[in-house]
Amino acid sequence: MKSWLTTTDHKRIGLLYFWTAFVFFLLGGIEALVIRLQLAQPSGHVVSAETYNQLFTMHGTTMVFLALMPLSASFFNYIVPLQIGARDVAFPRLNAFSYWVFLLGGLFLNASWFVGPLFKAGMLNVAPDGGWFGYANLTERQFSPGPNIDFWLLGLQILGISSLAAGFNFIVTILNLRAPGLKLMRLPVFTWMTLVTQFLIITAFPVITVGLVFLMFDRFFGAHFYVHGAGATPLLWQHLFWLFGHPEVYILILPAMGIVSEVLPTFARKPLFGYTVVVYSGILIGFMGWGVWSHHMFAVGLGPIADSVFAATTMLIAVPTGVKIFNWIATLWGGDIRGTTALHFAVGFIAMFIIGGLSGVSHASPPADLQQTDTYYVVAHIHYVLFGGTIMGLFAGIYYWWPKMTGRLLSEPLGKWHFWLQFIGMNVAFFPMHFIGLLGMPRRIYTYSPDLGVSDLNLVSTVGAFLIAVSLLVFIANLWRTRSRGETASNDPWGGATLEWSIPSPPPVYNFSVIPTITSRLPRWRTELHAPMQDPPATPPGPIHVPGGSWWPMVAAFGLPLMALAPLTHTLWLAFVGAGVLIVGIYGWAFEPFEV
Amino acid sequence: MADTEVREHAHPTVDVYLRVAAALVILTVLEVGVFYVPAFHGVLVPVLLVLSAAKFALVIMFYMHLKADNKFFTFLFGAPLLLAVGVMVALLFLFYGALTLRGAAGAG
Repeated sequence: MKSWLTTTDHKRIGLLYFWTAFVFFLLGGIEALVIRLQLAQPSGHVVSAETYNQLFTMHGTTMVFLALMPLSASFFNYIVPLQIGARDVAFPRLNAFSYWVFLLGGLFLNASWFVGPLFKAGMLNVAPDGGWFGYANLTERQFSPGPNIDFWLLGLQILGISSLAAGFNFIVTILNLRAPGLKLMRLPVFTWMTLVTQFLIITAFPVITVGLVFLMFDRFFGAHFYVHGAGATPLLWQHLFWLFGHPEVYILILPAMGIVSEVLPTFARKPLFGYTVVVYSGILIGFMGWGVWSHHMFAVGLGPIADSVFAATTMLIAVPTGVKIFNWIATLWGGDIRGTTALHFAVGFIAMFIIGGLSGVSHASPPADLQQTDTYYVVAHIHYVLFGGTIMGLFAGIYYWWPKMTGRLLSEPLGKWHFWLQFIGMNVAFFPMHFIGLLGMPRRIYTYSPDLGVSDLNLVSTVGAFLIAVSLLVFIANLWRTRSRGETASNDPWGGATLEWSIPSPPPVYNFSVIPTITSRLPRWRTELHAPMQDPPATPPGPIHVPGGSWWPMVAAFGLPLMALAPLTHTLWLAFVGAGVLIVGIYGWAFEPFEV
Repeated sequence: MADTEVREHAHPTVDVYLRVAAALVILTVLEVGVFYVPAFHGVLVPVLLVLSAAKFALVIMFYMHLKADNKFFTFLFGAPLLLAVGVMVALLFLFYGALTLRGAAGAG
């Protein structure tokens, strides 16, 4: 137990990220099921309007910040150092700090479900309720006097610190810890997309942090950054939020694109078609993702010039995305395809992401967007992108790398059941939402009239949501079965081309007994110019230093939620206690000998 | 270390650091000083922007080592910086309505 609490090993931290994020993913899923139960029939009475507001807010916030991002982070942690031939990340203790801050930030946010009585309110009364986008001026104290929004804005600030610390860590790791010969254009595409994602994180998160600090000043100190009556404008929040929010979409999808770019070549037994173009497309998406934010705001009335500019940039960003899709399909074309579960999910990703991408292009047209804004059409779009895209891609990665991470192969038959149930379930759940939206049902309302004519479609959607839940039960059963009865994995159960498959499954604490020298983009495959690399020996020729464990990252991390409790409870001394804990943690960390 | 792209570099000497510090002090004095010179009042904002940009450049070149380091790091720093400047300019235009038919109607 102690070794897990103090670990600085990137592999263990990767597993901690996985299990924590998976629990939050299930929590967000349960919230979604209650939402769907409420909407299964018109004039539903499963939950109140107030609880419904909290459910959709926490569902979105949880899935984006506590499930999808950290599930990607579990692969950044576990796989990236292995793919670049490193013994760990550049800053192992900072890595541990990122994880603990993430965990505590997630617990802080979710504590809001239960701590209502401490704020003289009932249970299930003080969770955030302003939507994951938190539009001003709904979030101002005047319109949301309870602690709900406070939990949200403080929790997100804590989580932002985790993301930023991890972002800098992975950039330095990828740039500076690559094995000899592993030039940038020899990096596996997953590592490349990780690098682009980290740059997006370190540039986008400061923007939302600024927006949240403004909101914090409005709510706690009587400032009025978003108060119209004081001469400000709530639109400032929308600009700041979507300046962060659209790059955030790419933060969520680029890692999945990277995973798919690893899975397809392995199971088509072909190098990725157009590696260079795929990499540059990813970089281009990273840049262009910064020039499209106002397409979330067409309904604001930005005027024809701004509308035209953002319509054009939004349509343009479909180009590098489409390039990637054609390259993935070309990778499969003529390949020696093995229909593993991982490949099913990767191909499912492509198909579903195309649908999500196409509905996204339809948002690029302002007149069409005006019909779609704030309707279920947008809900359909985001779920095709983030469930059909990101979740499918992440599951491709889970089935692909699980043997490397645990030493055991997940059951393929159960995996296929999982895939088909999830694939059918998501289409049944989310495809009708296109029609529900176009027929006029707004999103974020807790019930609807039978006269709207969307009752049957909503029922179908709810059935689909429960089908997804069943598919996840199959996945959990697969995980459980694999613990004891899963087939033992060799170093390389799939015949992969990249470095992580050259070492044992799971890898030893030092990863590589000898750091390999890389001469090819596909080091473990024979190419026209290169013979396959020789795998490192089973035992290291000499002692290898690895960083020891430390309590200090966790101690430092505890300071942040303590500080956040201060404004929440209007208790000044807590801010000093939290700051003290943080400072003590950092000092202990800084002066702790590296050799433990 | 992977390849020639990322390589250990020579740090500037203490003498260089001190000279840069002196230049920063002089620039700061100039920044404060121009405020009190009536001739500059018409162009105060552009002058202050130029002076602060010069200080910014000195800090990133010497104290953040970008001058002596691999050019790749300059690109990694510069590209997001340019992006940020572009986004800020676009945001200012949008926010103040200059790109809309509302024209000078004001913010929002």
